[in-house]
Amino acid sequence: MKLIYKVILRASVGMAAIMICWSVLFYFGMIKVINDEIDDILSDFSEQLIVRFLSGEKIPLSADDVTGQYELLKISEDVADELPQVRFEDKEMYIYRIDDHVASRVMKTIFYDNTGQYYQLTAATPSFEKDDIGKSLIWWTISLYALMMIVSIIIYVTVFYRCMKPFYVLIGWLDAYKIGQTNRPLENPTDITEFARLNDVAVRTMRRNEQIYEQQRQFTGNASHELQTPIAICINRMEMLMEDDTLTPQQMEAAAKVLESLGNLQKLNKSMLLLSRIDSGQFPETEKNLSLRTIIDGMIDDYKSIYAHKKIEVEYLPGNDFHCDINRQLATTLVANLLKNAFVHGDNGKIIITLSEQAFTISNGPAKEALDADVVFQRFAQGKHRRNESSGLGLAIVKSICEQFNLSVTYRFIGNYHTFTVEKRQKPDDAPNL
Amino acid sequence: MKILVVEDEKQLREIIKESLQKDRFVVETANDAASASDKLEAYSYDCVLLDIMLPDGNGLDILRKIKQDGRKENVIIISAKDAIDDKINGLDLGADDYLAKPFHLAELSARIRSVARRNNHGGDTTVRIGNLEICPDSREVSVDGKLLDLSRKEYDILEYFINRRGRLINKLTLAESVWGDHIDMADNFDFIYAHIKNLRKKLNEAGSGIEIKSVYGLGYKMEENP
Repeated sequence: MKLIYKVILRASVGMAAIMICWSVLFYFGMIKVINDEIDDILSDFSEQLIVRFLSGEKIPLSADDVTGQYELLKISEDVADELPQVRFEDKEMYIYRIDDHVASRVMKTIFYDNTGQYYQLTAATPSFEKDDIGKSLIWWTISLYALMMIVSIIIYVTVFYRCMKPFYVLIGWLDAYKIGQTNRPLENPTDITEFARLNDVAVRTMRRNEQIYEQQRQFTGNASHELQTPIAICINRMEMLMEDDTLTPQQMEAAAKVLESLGNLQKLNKSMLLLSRIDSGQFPETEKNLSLRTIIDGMIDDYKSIYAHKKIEVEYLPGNDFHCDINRQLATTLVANLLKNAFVHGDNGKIIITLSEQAFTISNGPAKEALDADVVFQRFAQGKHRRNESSGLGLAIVKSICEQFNLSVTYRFIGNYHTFTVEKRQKPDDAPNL
Repeated sequence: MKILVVEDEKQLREIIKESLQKDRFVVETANDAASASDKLEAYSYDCVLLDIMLPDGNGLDILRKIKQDGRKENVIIISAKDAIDDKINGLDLGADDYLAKPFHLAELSARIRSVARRNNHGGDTTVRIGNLEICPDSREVSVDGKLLDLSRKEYDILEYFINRRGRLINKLTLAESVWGDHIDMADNFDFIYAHIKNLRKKLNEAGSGIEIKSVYGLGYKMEENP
């Protein structure tokens, strides 16, 4: 969820709560004010009537007046004692003047004359429909809420993106950043202290990562380079030893095993050296539109004969070709490693090689289960598929080569076939998505 | 043949010396650029094995000097830097061959022989062993003057053995040389055996005096029948 949606959503919920409280308070407050006003009028009206009545003026027992209508009722002392002297009520009353039942405010006053006779004066005046007020208040609240939300969203979004622009520029930069490669410098001027700090921290972190990466890369490169000579000397010594005709077959066999292990060590070291050289961009010469079909044609027959004992069926149809801009030596390594991978793990199965203008695909199978696509290109990540003849770097080298030449390599498990696809990478969209 | 080995790494220098002496070469060694120059001033050699990275200078400077003085020494560069640039630089300066470290000793002897052959026989690179003649330029092999019909791989294997006769050839090394580096992951070398079998059969039928022997668990060795 985008940050702005989250902000708007939370603000709307908060605003809604505030608006609801506000309208409830407003409703009760308004009713109180209106009632107070009406009660004052009714009090005056009742007082006048009572004064007139007590002064002996003949007034009808019930009548309708401009102010309201009233009714004078004799009551017994017992009833009078039980009731409060003055009380107010809201109720539907029949108002003569309007000739209808309407919501009214009623004031009941209890008093007595000089004979000790108790009376109850009921004075009523039409007031207002609470339902109507409530309904219109709800309606107004909703409309106001909607209006306020629209206005605030516009303000929020404008202010948000104005303020957060440096943040999005930074995200875009970090997203496009590729360690160990040439990256554009961060241009993100801002007068917001926090973002200026964030920029600074991001640049420093990347610089530090870059240094660590460089050190590690150099270390691997130097280590493999330095190992080369001692390994070669060991191999040469063993070879000389084995040319000694006085060796017994047992000694020969032991020596052969040592030599074999040394050979594996040398292969591993060569792969590490190659990987380090690819990563440090030591293969700059790029050939435009190199045809992968030509490269595959050059080695497929060798592979078929080398792995003939594995009884693998190879489906490689003539037709389309995949062209890309790549160093020829590395293109050969790329194809060789993918082919090797398919052949080494393809016992009694089938290998399908497909080329199109868009992609180069090589599948082998059928297999029981998919490999873990997340780690398949990681160095030495062989898991339970480990083979003695494999260094565990083949696919890592493929990935490194692809990255150098703007290609992508992906692994999928399609119809029980392990499928590796090399494609041209789309231009990375590093513009922040505002 | 007299050879000067210029190499700063002691172990490697010694093993190259031992191995070349076994092949009946006369070997002198130098461990830095200064002593190499001194030796080249004082003596002449048939071949110089030159390391590029030396503690007190660049091997390419020695090469330049040899060529400037118009000397006839064949120069084979041996360097750990197998970058294409170095190789081109060396060959441009007039080196006869380039061998990237690490290399197999058998490979080194073969290169020395091949360079010497090229330069000493007026460009005729034909090799004769007993009644067998192999001409690398036309890729033709004949026994008693009769052409042998070999497949591409069989020819490559035979040429590899001829240049390294008498030495033990590791199966893996043979496979890498004939099939290319990309086969190095093969776990089964039956495919080599099939080719060797055919080659043996053809050599026998033609009555050649050479034999490719299997060496237990490791590889092959080519020997001349007395």
